[in-house]
This record gives sequence, structure tokens and C-alpha cells, in this order.
Amino acid sequence: MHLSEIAHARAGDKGNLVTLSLIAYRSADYPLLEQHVTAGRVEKHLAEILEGPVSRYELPQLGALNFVLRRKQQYSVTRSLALDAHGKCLSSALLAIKL
Amino acid sequence: MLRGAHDQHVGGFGVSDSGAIREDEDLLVCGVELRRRAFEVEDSYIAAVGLALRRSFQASTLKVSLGYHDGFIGEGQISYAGPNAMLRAELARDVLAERLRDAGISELRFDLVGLNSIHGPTLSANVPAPYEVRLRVTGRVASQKFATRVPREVEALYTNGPAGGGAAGSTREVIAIHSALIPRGAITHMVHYEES
Repeated sequence: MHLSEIAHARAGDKGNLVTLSLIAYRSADYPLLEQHVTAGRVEKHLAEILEGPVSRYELPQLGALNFVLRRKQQYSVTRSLALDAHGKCLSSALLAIKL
Repeated sequence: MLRGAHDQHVGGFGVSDSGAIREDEDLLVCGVELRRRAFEVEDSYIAAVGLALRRSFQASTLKVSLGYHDGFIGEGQISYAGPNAMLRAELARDVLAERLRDAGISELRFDLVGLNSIHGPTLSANVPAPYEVRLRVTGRVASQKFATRVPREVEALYTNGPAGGGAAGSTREVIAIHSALIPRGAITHMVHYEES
């Protein structure tokens, strides 16, 4: 199943940093997220645009995870050639991960 | 979502714009500590309890956003639809790559909008071909003169490229922002207040 079936996600950005939140629809599903959506898994999934490791923060009281990642320098918001310069659509890339 | 603005210390983790992500970094603008069980949900209401403002916690640095000239970007787009739309878009892309080869472009990017322009080729692989696709090309250049080459070459595809249409293009100057830190002591400020 895709993550999109049990969670939603949003993206934030600053410079070439991007934060991706992943929030379980039901708190009962949070342990699944915590177990399977590791920083390493996200790093591998988004390897094409990343530079450096992904950090993961856990917020069990919200049933959520927050990932902070760094994009390659040319993708920095104010100078990027990309159509989605902010990287706001990356939250959807996260939800495409299969469990 | 529990998310502070950058340079705020929230619940045991902090983020620095201009460096690596660090735990317990003394990078506070406003110290707000949120304890683990801060939020209670009851009948569609969320209560935040246990918030403490730690006035003693003041960052030794301030964040600076530096704007700087970073060249220009030239952009062009054109659409292809119907049978073999993808093949025509790819041919147009190859023509442009050749035409823009010695055009003073330091970074050239091609996107197939509707296919891979958002998440890139790897995540977009193995999907059925779309009915229509929009080829988008962007090039990073040092001057306005070089920037106009990109939309002009895309426009030339109307009569010198595979059958397609809806071409559009633009150039823009890039003022980029770089985030940095400055010692708080280096900044003096004053407030001037007038009342009529």
C-alpha cells in the first residue's frame, strides 16, 4: 500500500532546506510510520535531489514525523530552474512510498 | 503540524538555515519550550498547555538574508499532443540541446510537464505516456542578452521542429538570497516613533 492511504504530508522550504511532515490519519497507524519510514528510507527515495543526510524528528503525541532534508545547491528556492522551485510537491513524493 | 519558523527552538530540536541541523543549538530568536504532552484534543478543540517562555534564552547570532545578483534565466515552453506526443517532445528537446550548446548557458534544464517536471525522471519512471505533454527548457546565463536565446529558439520550433504549438517564453533576472548569521553585537538598532 502507498503511504498516501494511511497518512498525509505537507512540505515547507527555506533556501535549499525542505521539511516534510508525515501525519498518520489514525493514531493507531503511527507505529507503522515510525517503523518503516526511516530517515534512510526517505534518503533513498529522494536521492536524486538530495545532498547530505536526511534528519527525522518524531512527534508521537501528534502521530507525526518531520523530515528535514537539503536539496542540491542549484535547487535553492530563489535561483532554481525547476518548475516547483519551492519543492512544495515533495510531500507527495513522500506519500508515494510503498509499505 | 508542529512546526516552528526556522531558528526557533521547539521541543528539543532546532534548525539552522545556514548550517547543518543541530540538536540543542544555541540559535534561539525567541525561546518557547513545548513539553512533550503539550497538546490535548477534546471534541475538536486542541489545548496547548505547559508552554514556557524562557526569556534568558537569547541567541548570540541574528539571521541575515543577503540578496545578490545571480545572472538571468531564459525559459521556453511548447506543447505536443495526440499520437507520438512524447516522441515529438523528445525530438524537440534534442534539437534544443544542440541549438543551445554554445549559447553561454551554464546550466540547462529540460522538463516534460505532465510527465517528470516535478519529481524528476527516477520517481516518474514506468508510467504510461500522457496524451499531451509540454516541453519546458530553462537556461541559466550571465546576461539578459544570452537569456533571450532560450525563448527565441523555442519559438523557432514552430516552423523548424516537430508539429506542436502553444509556445511561450520569458526571461528574468535572478536576485538570489543567501542566509547567513551575524553576531548580535554587530547590530545596533533604534526605534523612531512619530505621532500625528
